[in-house]
Amino acid sequence: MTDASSAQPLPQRLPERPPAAAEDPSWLQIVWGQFKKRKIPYYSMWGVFGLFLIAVYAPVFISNKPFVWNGGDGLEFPWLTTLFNRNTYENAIDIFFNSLLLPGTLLIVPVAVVWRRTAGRPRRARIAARQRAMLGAFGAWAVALVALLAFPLQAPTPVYPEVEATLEAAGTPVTAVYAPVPYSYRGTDISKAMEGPSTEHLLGTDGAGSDVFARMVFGTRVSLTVGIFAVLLYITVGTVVGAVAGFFGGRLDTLLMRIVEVVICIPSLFLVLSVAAFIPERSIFHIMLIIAAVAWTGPARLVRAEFLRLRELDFVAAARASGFGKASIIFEEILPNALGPVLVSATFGVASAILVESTMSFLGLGDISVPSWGQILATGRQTSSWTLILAPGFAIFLTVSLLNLLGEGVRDALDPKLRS
Amino acid sequence: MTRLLQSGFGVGLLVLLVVIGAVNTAQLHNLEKKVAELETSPRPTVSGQKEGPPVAVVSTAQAGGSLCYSSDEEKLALQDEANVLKPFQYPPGWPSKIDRGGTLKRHVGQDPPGLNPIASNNAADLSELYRYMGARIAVQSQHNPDDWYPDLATKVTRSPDGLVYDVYLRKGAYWSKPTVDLSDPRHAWLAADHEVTADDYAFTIEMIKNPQVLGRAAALRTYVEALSRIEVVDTHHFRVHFTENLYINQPTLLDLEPMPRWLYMYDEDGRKFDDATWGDKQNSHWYNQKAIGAGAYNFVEWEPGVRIVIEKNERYHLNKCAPANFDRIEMKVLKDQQSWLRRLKTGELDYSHMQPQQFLAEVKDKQPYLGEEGLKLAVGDEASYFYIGWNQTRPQFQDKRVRKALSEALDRQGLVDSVFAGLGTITSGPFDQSNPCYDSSIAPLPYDLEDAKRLLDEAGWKDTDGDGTRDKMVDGKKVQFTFTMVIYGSSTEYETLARVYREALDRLGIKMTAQPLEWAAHLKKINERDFDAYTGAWVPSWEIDLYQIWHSTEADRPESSNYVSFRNADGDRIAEALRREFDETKRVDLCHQFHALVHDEQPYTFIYQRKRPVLYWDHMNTPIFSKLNPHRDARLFSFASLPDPAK
Repeated sequence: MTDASSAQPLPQRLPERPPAAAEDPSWLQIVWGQFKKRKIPYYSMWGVFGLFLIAVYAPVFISNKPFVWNGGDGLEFPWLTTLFNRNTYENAIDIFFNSLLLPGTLLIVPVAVVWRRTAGRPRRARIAARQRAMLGAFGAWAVALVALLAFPLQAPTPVYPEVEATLEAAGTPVTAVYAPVPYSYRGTDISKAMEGPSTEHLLGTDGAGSDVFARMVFGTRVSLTVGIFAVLLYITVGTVVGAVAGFFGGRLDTLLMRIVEVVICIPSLFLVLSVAAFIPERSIFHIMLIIAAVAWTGPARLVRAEFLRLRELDFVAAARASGFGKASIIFEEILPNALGPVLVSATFGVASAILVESTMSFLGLGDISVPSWGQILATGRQTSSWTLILAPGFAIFLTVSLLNLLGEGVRDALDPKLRS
Repeated sequence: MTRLLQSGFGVGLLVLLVVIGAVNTAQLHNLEKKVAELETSPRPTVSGQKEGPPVAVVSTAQAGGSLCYSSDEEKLALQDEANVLKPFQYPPGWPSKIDRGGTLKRHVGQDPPGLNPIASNNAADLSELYRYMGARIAVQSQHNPDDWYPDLATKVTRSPDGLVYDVYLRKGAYWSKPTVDLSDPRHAWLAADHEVTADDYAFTIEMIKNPQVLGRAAALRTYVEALSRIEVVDTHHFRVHFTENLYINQPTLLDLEPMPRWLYMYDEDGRKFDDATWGDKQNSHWYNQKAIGAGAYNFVEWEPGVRIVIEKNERYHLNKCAPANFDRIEMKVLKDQQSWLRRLKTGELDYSHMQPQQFLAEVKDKQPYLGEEGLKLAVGDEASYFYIGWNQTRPQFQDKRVRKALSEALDRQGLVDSVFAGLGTITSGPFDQSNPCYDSSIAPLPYDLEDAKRLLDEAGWKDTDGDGTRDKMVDGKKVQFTFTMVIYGSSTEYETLARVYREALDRLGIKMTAQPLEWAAHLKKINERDFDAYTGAWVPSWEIDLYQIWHSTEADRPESSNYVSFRNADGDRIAEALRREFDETKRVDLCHQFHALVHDEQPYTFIYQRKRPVLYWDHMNTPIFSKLNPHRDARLFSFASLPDPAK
């Protein structure tokens, strides 16, 4: 290997560019422009966004806690007061989405205000102000979420429809305003098990008498969380491994790549199932970890390949010559340029993580305390109930297809050769 | 080394092989335990082969209730007043027409753990296989379990003090030939004919008592503790000495299945094992992947994961009264429950049982069944009961009021009606409901959340910190009422039960987490007492013995069956008295006392006693179900007409 940087003269500092009349489009703007040209990926993106909205706003439509309640002791707002109650929403996933629903939605307002006010400002100032606003909102939300998770609210919560029936039987008038679907995804009523679709239960009920529609909608939260978190996790690990291997090369590269090959050699579903069988109390977070543990090799290889290509380029040589440290060359100089393919594989990765989670739940290796599409599908298969097979099947198909189309769009938009 | 590293292929292959090997071993291990799933019997189950009319290709069989003697020797022996055996009788409902021959095609849920009836792990399918292939001293009557019919013995007498039994084996009962290539000179030493002799029984007892022998022997040993010595009088006569006259001695002895010394005492080349290590050699004996017996069928082959095949034994000693109903029985290993009914529909199986939810979805009220006119439904009673066990070493479950409250929080009738498809009856005690020991005047606790709340308050479990979960100070530490329940992982029924129960407990202020586990992991947790609560099932044997599950000494013994650590002085007293009581009325009275005690203590929350639906093709006679075994007992099944071989 020859060291190209030592042979070349130091690059000279370029003079400041004269300010352009119209702003040059940034890299992101170019990609966005390319992306928008392809209609199917563009609409798929909105479809995925729609799924995300459904996940966030699920409790607005589906909740067995009334928005307004008056059982004779004055007005109460159980829906609001139980939104972060761990006795109502026991899973951290729900708390996460509920935190997006309430503080999250409210925080859009200040960001939007800043956005409008800064519209006319010069680019640098505008971007800086908007970034500050978004960072502030994100920070506020993150603090709220951490606080909610660290100090869980845990008041006992009555089953309101039953209290209502009791009170009315006793002659007390009750005022209660419920969400359009007044069920919880975990509520059971075995006297109504395995009912077909009706106006009362849109998609019928499952073996425990739970409302399948409610479980399906809350299942969106589980699927998206598993997809996104598992992918974030393995992308991070894979990127670091790939970057280190690609940048340093030599023995370290050989060693890391052999490890990667060994992991790839193991059939992943096999590994997932074996590992799952050894975890005594599986939660949905274990499942994300397991998925991440088998999938990190993909981005590692991608990033390594990119690094092998990029490290020979002039800008890296320039950075070396300027005396940047290795860490900053890797993470500040090369990595941003290597992330394109990773972004593409991440979108596909979300889809496949959702499939793996569904498969595990389907095989009874999921977390039974969370509503999962795979679990509904398994019930459907065992009971030969068409709604229980078709509804989750369609949901998985839709989500995975949208994500794959989105991924293809991102790949095309990032590819300079395809730019017209 | 670097080259080796760089050849990722080589390293990858190596690691892959290691991983596959490890996973394979783990799976095999899982399977072994999984097979034990149904074999939850407190005592190794009973058997023999004895129901059937005389040999004929097409015959009009004897009506149920008629007697049959296999030989004059047997008839003479049964005339002896001292003989504890009874003449063979056909069970009620025995079909009037049996078309003998053909191949019975059925399925088993998993591979057996091995085929050595003593040294392999205890497993339902294994003990069932030996019910067809093996022979016992006597056979317990299916319809009158107090009666035992002659099998290998024609006469068994008992001394007045009950401490000595004399067993007279019949002449002309032969071991089947080992399933090896006898033309191979290496196996020439196995070619000779061998009669079943008293010495084989001496060997069997030596084997059970030898602590080196693992597997099922460990469970059997607790039943032969009082058996002190076996004395071979002559080839066909042996005497068994007991130290104490216990009720279980006689059924345990009569149910004993012999092991051929001439086979298991030797290695594959015919060299005898030495006296110090022969017990250990049994655990990995060269013949453990094959089987041998002296019963109605001979072993043909076991293809792991595919099938087990047995075929009719032409010189079976009971061929006159209870010959094999089929020329061959083929047991397909079908691990995927969903495939059972599909294979039945295509004619790959002659009959199949099914899970409650499958029954509900595909069979109940859906005639013709699976769209086939030729399929019929039979629902059999089963002696098994299902329960939730509470670990009484945990602070949450030490108070009986709490355990009562937990029982009252489970809507058992609702679950049986919906989740278990109405296939069973809720139960209140640890006995089969058709056994006189079951006190039907004790009704199961009702589903009553209000009363459960009251009981929990009374026991001191209250939500003192307002977090929605009950708590209590135990030994100066605040304990929250949360627990984990281990459930059968392979069944949606139990997952649904857990979800329903969880919601009910949530209303009581108790947080329950369900943990579905594969059977192997499930069993491991229970054996190691590493659980708060678990779902389980027992198949109580007809002769009630309370020691194994309920006696406090068993709670101290590791890996014993008193998983929940039930310790009760009254319970111990009743268990001890019952072992020594022979009077039926007094025994029933003791059982009823125990039933009342268990109902009051609720060491288990008894769920229900199961019924098993079976779909069968109309070329079969209506199946007769065994009351004694939880399994589909193919000895009681027969063809009304031979199935079309083309199908």
